[in-house]
Amino acid sequence: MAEILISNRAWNKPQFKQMCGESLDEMQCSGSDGVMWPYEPYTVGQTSYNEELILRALRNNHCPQNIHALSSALGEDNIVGVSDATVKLHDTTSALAGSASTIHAARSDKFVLVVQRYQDTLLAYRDVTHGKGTAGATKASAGIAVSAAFEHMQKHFQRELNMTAGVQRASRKGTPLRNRTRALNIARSSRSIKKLELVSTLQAGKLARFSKYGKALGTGVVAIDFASRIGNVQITYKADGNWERELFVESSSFTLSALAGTATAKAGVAFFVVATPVGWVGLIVLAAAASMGINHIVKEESGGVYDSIMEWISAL
Amino acid sequence: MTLVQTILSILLAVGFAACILFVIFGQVTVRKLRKNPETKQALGIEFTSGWDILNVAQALSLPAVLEKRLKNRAFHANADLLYKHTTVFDRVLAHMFFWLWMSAGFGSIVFTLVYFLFDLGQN
Repeated sequence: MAEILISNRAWNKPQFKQMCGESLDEMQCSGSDGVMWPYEPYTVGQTSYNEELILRALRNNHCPQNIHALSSALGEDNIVGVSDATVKLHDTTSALAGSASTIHAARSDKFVLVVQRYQDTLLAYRDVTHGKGTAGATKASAGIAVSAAFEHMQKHFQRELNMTAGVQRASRKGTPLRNRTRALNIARSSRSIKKLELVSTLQAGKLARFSKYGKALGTGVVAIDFASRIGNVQITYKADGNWERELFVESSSFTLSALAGTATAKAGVAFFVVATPVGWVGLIVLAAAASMGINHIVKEESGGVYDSIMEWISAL
Repeated sequence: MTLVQTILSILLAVGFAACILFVIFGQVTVRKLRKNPETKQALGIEFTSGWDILNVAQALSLPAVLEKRLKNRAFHANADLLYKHTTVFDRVLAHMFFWLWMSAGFGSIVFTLVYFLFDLGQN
């Protein structure tokens, strides 16, 4: 278990001692000379190899900043849970089939957006209680906005919320995603240093991916699918197999399953009303089935096509 | 080559051509429309990066009869507006891409159904 600290402002030694009761000298980070820099992940004590990997995963571009903002609204434990759930949604679907998952990506993007809106209202609420709110906003109106966002999230994304529950530690106080009072309390008294407890690099990677919510998620799905296919080619190559043939099989099955998936999705959106949860699920299942079916056939048969092409070329 | 492999290679050839036209159509026509402030907002929903290319292709090549019957209107590109901002060449490109893509897509779906219904597998 690695304890990661992220702060949103710079601290010098005495300030840090006062804030955390620990000496800053025990914090490990590249280039820290007696100062804790804002938006840099730190670990406590000597950094082990595993912790170093976690830090590296968290350290790219705006990642720590986003994580800090997210965790000051969702609570430190939950952000790990939510990131895990969103990534799980992607991995299960991309394991299924080519680009059928793009539709699913749209739904989990929406989940992230809804969580984000909930978080935005919470942050606004925090600003109001700290006397920094926008003009015209009162504590009551900010509270109402939080409630509305909370209701919306509870109503439409039960399944995704259930997935987050498995990862979170059971707390007597409840979690902000389930309990709005707890969320309001966190928002009211959130501090500027965030402490995250991460078990593995995998978790850190998920967190880093989650922090780049938005369009990156959609393309991420295709990238995962692609990576697993490339992996198959590489395995064949290492086993001294016919890797050019494997490459042909993988890329042709990706092409046709992507075409079949997108065509189904396009036709479904065009001629059926899909703006209900049942509609979405139906469309996802259909597109996934189309992609999986053709993916299966092409994987079985396109090796033969490749052999014929090679025979034909060598006969010329 | 077996019958299955012959059909498959035709589907693959059509699909491959569709993939190339997808990129060309995206670079030539859709890029122009994305930059135009009048059409920027009318390209339909973007489920994933590049989905608007599919939306534009559909808007420019679907016959008017089908166009009128589209559901989920907010998800599609605005066909009337796009007609005003495209040339004949754009529309020809759209037709070529859209119908190649649809025939590869639905061709493979029909093929999949036939394959599993009549058990054409090699074993």
